[in-house]
Amino acid sequence: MAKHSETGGSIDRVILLFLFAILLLVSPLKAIWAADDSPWYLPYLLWGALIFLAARLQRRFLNDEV
Amino acid sequence: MKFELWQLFLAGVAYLGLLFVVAYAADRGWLPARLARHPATYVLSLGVYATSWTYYGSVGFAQEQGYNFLTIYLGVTLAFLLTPVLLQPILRLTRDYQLASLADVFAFRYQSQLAGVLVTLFMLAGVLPYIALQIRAVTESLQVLTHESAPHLIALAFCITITLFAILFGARHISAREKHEGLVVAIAFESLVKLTALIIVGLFAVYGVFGGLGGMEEWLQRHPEALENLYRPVREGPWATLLLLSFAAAFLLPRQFHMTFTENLEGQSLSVASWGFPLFLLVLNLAIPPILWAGMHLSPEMAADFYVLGITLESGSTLLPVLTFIGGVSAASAMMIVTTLALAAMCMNHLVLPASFPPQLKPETDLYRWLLWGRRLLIAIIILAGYGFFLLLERNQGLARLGLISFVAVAQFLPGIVGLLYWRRATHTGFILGLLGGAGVWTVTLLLPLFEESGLIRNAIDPLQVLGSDTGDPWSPATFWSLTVNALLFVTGSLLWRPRDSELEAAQACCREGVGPPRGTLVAGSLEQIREQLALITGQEMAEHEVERALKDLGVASEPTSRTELRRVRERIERNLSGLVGPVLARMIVDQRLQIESGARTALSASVRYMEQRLEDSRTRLKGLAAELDDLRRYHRQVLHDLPLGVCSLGPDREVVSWNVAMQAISGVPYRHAVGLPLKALAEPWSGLLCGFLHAQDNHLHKIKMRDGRETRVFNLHKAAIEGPGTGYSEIQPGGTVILVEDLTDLYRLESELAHSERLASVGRLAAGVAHEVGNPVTGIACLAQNLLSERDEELTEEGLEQILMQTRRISAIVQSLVSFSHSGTLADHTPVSVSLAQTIDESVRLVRLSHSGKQLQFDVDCSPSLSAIGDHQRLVQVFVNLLSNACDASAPGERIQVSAFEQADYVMIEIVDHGSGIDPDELDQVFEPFFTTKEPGEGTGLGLPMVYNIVQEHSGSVTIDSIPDGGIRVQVQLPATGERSLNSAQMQETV
Repeated sequence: MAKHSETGGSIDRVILLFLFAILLLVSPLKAIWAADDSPWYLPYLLWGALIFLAARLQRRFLNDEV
Repeated sequence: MKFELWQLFLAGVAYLGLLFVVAYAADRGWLPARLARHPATYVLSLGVYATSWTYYGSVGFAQEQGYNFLTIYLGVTLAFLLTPVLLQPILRLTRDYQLASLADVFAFRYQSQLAGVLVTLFMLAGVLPYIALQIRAVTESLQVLTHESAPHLIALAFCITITLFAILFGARHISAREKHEGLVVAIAFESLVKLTALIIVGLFAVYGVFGGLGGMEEWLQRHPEALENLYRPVREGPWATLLLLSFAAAFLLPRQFHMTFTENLEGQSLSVASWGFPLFLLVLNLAIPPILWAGMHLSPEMAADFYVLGITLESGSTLLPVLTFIGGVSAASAMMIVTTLALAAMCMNHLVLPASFPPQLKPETDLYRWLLWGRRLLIAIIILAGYGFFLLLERNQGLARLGLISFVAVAQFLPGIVGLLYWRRATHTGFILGLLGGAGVWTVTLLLPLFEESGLIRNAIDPLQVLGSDTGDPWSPATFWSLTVNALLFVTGSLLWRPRDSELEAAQACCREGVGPPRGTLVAGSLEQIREQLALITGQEMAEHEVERALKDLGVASEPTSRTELRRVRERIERNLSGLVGPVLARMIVDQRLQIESGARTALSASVRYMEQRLEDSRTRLKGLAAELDDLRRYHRQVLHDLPLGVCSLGPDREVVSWNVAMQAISGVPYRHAVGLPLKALAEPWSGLLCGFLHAQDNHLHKIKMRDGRETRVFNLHKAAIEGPGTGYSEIQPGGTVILVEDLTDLYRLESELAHSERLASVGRLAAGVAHEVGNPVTGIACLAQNLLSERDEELTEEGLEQILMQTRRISAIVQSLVSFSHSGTLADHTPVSVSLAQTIDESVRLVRLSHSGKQLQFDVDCSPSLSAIGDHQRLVQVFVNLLSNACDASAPGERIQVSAFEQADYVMIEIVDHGSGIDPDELDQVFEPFFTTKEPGEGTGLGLPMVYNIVQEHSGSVTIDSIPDGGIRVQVQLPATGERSLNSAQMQETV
């Protein structure tokens, strides 16, 4: 029975990551990282962080499915 | 620096030639197969998303809209983050139902050819500007490098080359089920080229133009407005709108759909792509700001769209501009090839074929060939149309604008996709109304202004001005209004019109909720009839090929005979045809030619198997109560599976539904050769045994013997009806029978050995009497022989010899009785037959007399010679020898033992009465227990009466012991008489 909950948990984490990405990209938080004095590479760093988290989740998702 | 046109033309042709070689090598298997199937190749092939808009246009877009250019890739990242809940279900759907394009998917979900037609037309309208954009990018890049206008002939040559490539490597197979490995590898190669080229240009911008990262930072500090211009539009511009558009474009653009789903070689690759593809896009875009700033620093005389090329001209190298140009060609060509392939498939399935259905074919027509060449012709027409669009458009629009018009167009499919995946109530009416509404708004707000600016039409009304949204950013209002109108019409239309049954069925398949097995049975009763019916539409050759393919896909080796199997073949044919001619036509073909008997029930075994497979496939997606129920189901199934009894359950139509591990071990018939078959189609002797038992009145049969090859095996059989109320939600309704098979062969063998031991013990006990009985005639023979020595009279001699012979016959009879009694026999020897009771009792009495001759007991036997019972002679002798021996042991010398037999209904009753010492009433209940004896130690084993009890039970009889009033014991043995009913039972037991 743990199998189902683990897989379900992975999907929940995917949704949470998506919502976090939306929060980061679309909410007023955007004004903080998109300030004029932010380093030019900051958007890429945030983007890279999202990709890193997605890769971690994908690995966990595959492990749950095996 | 300036290049000659012919030089660049040759470079482009050489690159495209290399692309041909790569694709050809992959198709021919010269490259390792695992290369094409590697997730990295898949990720790179998705890089077809990055067209010349990305390659050239991103810099211009960044100059105009700052970091808003990143939204085009961040939206893709968001879509790929949702791979498990958004992309995987679509991939599963396209694979399961052989859906080759977005038009196929919508036509399948909404069960409407019109939906497919509209999607195709709208997609054509939306994507043609995008194709034109690619051609323009290539020609303008030539112009940048040569400083002269590229003749239209160059653009045409480029289009022809692309057409050839698409035909050779993208339309090799007719069906979507065959993947084009060469194409996938070639597109991945193109992505690698453009990625490498852009990274090199980016490095040149940083190190060649600014002298390193430090130099670039210094430049940025001197020009703070450069960074502000990047960040300001993020806070003020259409950031969210562009995110939404690219989110939709990530999987709805024809080329993305084609590479993500249609050409997906390994399902698992999509999981890797969930982060791999965004990573590819990140690396690709990392170079854009430095290139933009290098362009601003160097100020080449050109639009920012072509800074990528422009700054390389300042490098002094001839190689770098050519490499950059090649990167642009790769970006444009990959997009055009894949988009054209996707659109050609849509046009064929949703425009050309429906217009010519039903096809008027001659018998010799090869429909496959016709379809293939049709697609190839469509590829050429679409690229030509893109070229025409390129000629029509003025060159005053940025590359990004043309691309975004396409993005808004494909975003109109978002409501349909939501309905497809999550809203079962969505109907084709709602979808069509929504799409028409959204397309209308898109045309008015984006397409007509484009035509007006290009001079194709005049005085078009700008509705955005009318709505007061003319803020200079057309994307947000155009997206908002088109999607709002689309979604409102979609919801309203879906709520006002009820979905048809076929729509509900398709909706269940798309939402993967409670899809039952295919219902009904096929009218056609054989594969031959299926072939004949299909041939009426598809032609003989294709019909045969499709049937063979369906059988191969189903893993059916032999020709299926049951209606259930044929129903599955029909289902498979429909899916395969869907990959060939689209889902709507495929359904029309099978509905028309392979009709279903309405009202016929699907075999329970097929339903169970189908549902089990569905649950297995969906296991990882079950949550909450559904997951718990699934675990419970698995637990119960495992219990049934591991039960040490053979379990065979049958549906109402007597098809085998379950066949557990023990049943496989007992029968030697594997699961796959039993489940789904009618019971009578099982291998012999199981078919006969189980069919016979199913028809028998008794629910329990004990110690049934069955000859299995050389071995005789013994079973207990039990059956029960499966009853209970159905839920009504599922195809799986209770009904049928469950049969339990208990293998007693080993136990029975042990019992036989025990009985043999007991017989040998009896022989031992009889030995003294035997010696005495044999001794008497031997003494007689000795005396007679002595007399004969002195006897001279021939007559007396002859008489003496006859007496000797008589005595030897007596000895032989005694020895024969002993040998017969003590013989162990085999399982097969214990076959029930009609046994004469008089003979059996006489033989038993004779044996018992041997050991108790000293007591001078009297045996009164009253048994009619006509009486007979069903049983095994030797074992019945064992019963009576045991009972009579006990009677003799209990009797005093000279007493009488009465043996009587009489008929009683279907049974024969044998009574053995002695007048001996009797048994204590308290001990009467224990006499049939093993090792219980009332005799002195060493005189009895305590196994005699238990053995009697077992043997009589095996003969479907009964044995009782009670005391009689004047002392003594009465034993009553009841055995089935030889009659019709008994004979039937005997036949059941004698299953061969």
